[in-house]
Amino acid sequence: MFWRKNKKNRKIPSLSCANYLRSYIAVDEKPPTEIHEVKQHITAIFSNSFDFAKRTFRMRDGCGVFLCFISGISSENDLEEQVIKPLLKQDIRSGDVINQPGTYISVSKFSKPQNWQHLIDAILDGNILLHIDGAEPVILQLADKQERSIMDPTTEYQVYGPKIGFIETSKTNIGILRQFIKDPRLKTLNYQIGTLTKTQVALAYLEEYCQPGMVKYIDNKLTAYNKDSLLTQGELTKLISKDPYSIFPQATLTERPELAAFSLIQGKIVLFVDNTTFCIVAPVTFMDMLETSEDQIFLVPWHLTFLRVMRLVSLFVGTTLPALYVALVAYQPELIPTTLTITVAQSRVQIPLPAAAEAFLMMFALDVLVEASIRLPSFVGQTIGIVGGLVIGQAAVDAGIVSNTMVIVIAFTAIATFTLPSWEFVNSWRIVRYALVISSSLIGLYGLVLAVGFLLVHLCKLESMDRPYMYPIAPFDMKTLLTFFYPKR
Amino acid sequence: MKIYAEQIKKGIGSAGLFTFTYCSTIPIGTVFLPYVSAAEIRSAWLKVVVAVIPYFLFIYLLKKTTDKHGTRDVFQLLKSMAPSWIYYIVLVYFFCSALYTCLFGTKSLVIIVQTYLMQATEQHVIMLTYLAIAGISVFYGIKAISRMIIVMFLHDIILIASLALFFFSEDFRWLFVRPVFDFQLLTFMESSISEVSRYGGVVALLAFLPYVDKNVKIINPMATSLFVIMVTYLMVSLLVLGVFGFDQAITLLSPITALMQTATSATGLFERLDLFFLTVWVMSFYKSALIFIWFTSSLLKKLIPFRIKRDWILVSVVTGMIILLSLFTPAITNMGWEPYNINNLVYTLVLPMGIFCYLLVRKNKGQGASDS
Amino acid sequence: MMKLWKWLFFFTLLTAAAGCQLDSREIDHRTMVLGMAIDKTEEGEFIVTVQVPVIVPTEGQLGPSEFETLTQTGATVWEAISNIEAMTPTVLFFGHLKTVMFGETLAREGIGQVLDMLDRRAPLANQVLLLIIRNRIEADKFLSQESPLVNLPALYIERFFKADQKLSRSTDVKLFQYRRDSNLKGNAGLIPLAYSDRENIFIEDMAVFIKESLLAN
Repeated sequence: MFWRKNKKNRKIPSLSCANYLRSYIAVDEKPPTEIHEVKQHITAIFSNSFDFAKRTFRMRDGCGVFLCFISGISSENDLEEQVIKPLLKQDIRSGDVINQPGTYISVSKFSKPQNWQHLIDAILDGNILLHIDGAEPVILQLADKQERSIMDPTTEYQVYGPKIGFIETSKTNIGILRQFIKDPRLKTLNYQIGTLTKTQVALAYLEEYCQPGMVKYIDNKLTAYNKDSLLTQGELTKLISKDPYSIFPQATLTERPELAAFSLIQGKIVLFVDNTTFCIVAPVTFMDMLETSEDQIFLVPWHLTFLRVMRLVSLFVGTTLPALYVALVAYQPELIPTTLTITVAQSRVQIPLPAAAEAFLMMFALDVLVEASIRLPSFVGQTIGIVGGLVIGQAAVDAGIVSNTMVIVIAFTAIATFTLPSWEFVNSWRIVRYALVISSSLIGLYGLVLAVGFLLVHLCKLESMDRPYMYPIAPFDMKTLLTFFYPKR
Repeated sequence: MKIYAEQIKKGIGSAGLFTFTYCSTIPIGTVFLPYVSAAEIRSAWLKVVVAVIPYFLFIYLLKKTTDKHGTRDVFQLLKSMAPSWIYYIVLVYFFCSALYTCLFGTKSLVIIVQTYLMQATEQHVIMLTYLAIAGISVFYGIKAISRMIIVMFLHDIILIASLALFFFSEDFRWLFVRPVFDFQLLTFMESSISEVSRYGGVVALLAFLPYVDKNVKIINPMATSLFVIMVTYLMVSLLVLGVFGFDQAITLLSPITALMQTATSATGLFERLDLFFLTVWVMSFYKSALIFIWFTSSLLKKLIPFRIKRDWILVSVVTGMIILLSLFTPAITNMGWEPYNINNLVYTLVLPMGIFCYLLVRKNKGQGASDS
Repeated sequence: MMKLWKWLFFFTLLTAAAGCQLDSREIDHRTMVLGMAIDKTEEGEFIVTVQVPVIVPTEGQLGPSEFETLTQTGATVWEAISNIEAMTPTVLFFGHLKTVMFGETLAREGIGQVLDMLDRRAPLANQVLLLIIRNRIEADKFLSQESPLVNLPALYIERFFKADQKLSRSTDVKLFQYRRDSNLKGNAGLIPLAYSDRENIFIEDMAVFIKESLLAN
């Protein structure tokens, strides 16, 4: 292909960390025992970093000691108490410390780096380098990363449900998960992804519940990741999705640990990414998107039946209603009851826009409103809501730009789609809504039917990891489908 | 919902087979029922019952053949056991006939949509959108298609249920449906041909079976499905006769649509239910278009001696052929049903049965080595 | 590669479909015909009257006089209808036609041909109610009659029959029912009769048709 030819010639200069280090030191070599050399190199590598702290002092017998760390993420108190104080005692000789560091330094864990790369990585992780002249450098594991205390989830509200949410550290998150599932079969694998960000990614799954092929698939994808950065979950979900270009999400995000635990029991895998509070749950199916972990809490099983039927119906209504309205008003008014037809005609008679344009205008206005109010602080957000609601609701009708019925249709549509628990999924259907309106404004009800048919084929084609997207319906499984609507005791 | 990974069925199971059989046959058979050859419809409801019998035989033979040779790919079997020129002639004939069926289905959809939904829109616009969307959907492959058919089967259930409700409406009178036998054998035979060809869609099973899971018993879903199809046809014929009477029914373009028109909307949600049901028809036609375009393209794939890696090329070729054919042929009302029905009879019933018999007579591959 | 093809396909489709929005006609650009009355003059011309609601941008209920009856004559029904269409700013839309009324004069001559014409036009529902207007009042006058109970006379008739009055002396007959009955061996069909004095609408008795023409009532 002609447009692909140029790709090979364009060579991006490699921006790897190893290359940077190589300009100062031999990465694979062991760090020298000579204190000045180490000091010189490290200072050069961490030049222009004000948070990089280093300290040199001499022990009582005159032996030089070099300490360095990154101040924001290391525990300086511990350093002072457990390292510097013991070393500065009167009667210590440097030879003893070199031979048996453990007896003098009361740090719980320390190690000797194999090469320069390890040493640098350890410092970046928040550990402290201790180098006594003439000995090999020692890494004291005194990292004290910035960590938030566990709080209740702020984005996924529930009526019941535990008030505990994931935080930004994958290790802690797995710990939370362990509280839910106390079983050795809960396996956790750790990956470091991205040569620049070195993000910790943790994969959790339940052995015997989860298909081994799935774990292997994820494992392959994660180890093959070759970009230099990974900051968000989105990059990861696109990586593990089989159809990354589809409108529909094939993985979901949650910050509720009980939902993650529940998904694990369903045989799914959970991926934690450091520095994000949401974990990735995959695979998900169409029906999974309609359920929340809270559904299981209801004391009366019929509540669940009602809720799920309602979500399905509102998904259908929220997606097709504007398109149906356009098709009926512009192409097949025969379908609308006679008295309603007269009412609709009355409300439309002064409107200069055709129904399709009206629908687009309103849908767009509504989406803008939603988007605008999401990122604003709550007090401004409310104002936007009121202003937008008033402007779009009343003033537009009074000014004769849109009709009353259209406002009702769009408002109901918007509310209906937001009954879905997954925000990602809501967004997908919002896009589908536009497509349906386009098709029905081009060729009416007929076009709408064809578009829905195509949409269904697309949905049926999707597979999330190993699961067909429309699973309990197609491939048809009566038992699972029934338990979806009415749980077993 | 608690699913363990191993429990998920991923292939095409019996539900898939059932719905596939149903959807491949129902739309074109029903839309013009009981008015096909414009001949004798007075006792059409009796004939649809009789006409299903050969197809039960078809299924039985199909099962026997597949059991005997241990493979469900009948075409492949024929290729290995028959002389290659016979195989290619049969395949070419199948291909042309399937194309003919596609053409006919498209034409009938176009005429129905144009008459009832969009009077002012030109035929080629309706046809192009229909075929293009169906063609693109077929790109997704048979797995997606069969799944989609299962999802949309709810649609068909609604249709059957609403048909059944008609029996309780006051418009329906048993008085009109008494069977009338006028023993003109020729007319009876002639109109029976059209009744038999209503079940013709079943032929797509020949290409579909290899994709069904190996452990699924094939005969039950197919036979049940055929039975349900028969019941649906029976209901439609009875209702059309019972509501309109014979003399009126024969003048209707699409009796079932007219039937829906008589439905009063008790709900008040939709004023005229007929248009709503028309959308059900469009969907139903769309499903059968998926099946038949896929069927035709899979025949084309078998026909081409060299392998084409990408299926979508074949699908586009087939869709393009249908588009060209429909653009350059007259509307369905001028085309005549007779050749279509007879051809349908031959390629969906006579020829496959012949193939089955041939394959049944021949011994298994291992034993028959000296035979050939 | 396949993606590219798909999009190309879509775009050709869109452009193809966008060019021909012939059927797209907004509700307010259609003149809804709710009731239609057909009669014959002594000269043998058809008089066709249609009842259309007047769409005004008011909120709430229709006022009492917010419908209009348009009458035209023509050599055929079709011609009369196109004459009426010439009087309106938009197109006539028969999708919501509720009732078709025939004057007694026409009914005595035979309504078969007229019904054939109506039946063959697809947008007409088969559910149209049929009514014969007694000679006491002309069909077009009947259609412009205002009932104190329901604003639009055509809707009045529909509601009358939907209520399915047990004490009524008449029953509803829809287009397809009439055609079915008159196609039977006896060739006899029934259609309810109606008339009105200055104030009220009366629907009572049935007219008997043999071979498409009024025989007795």
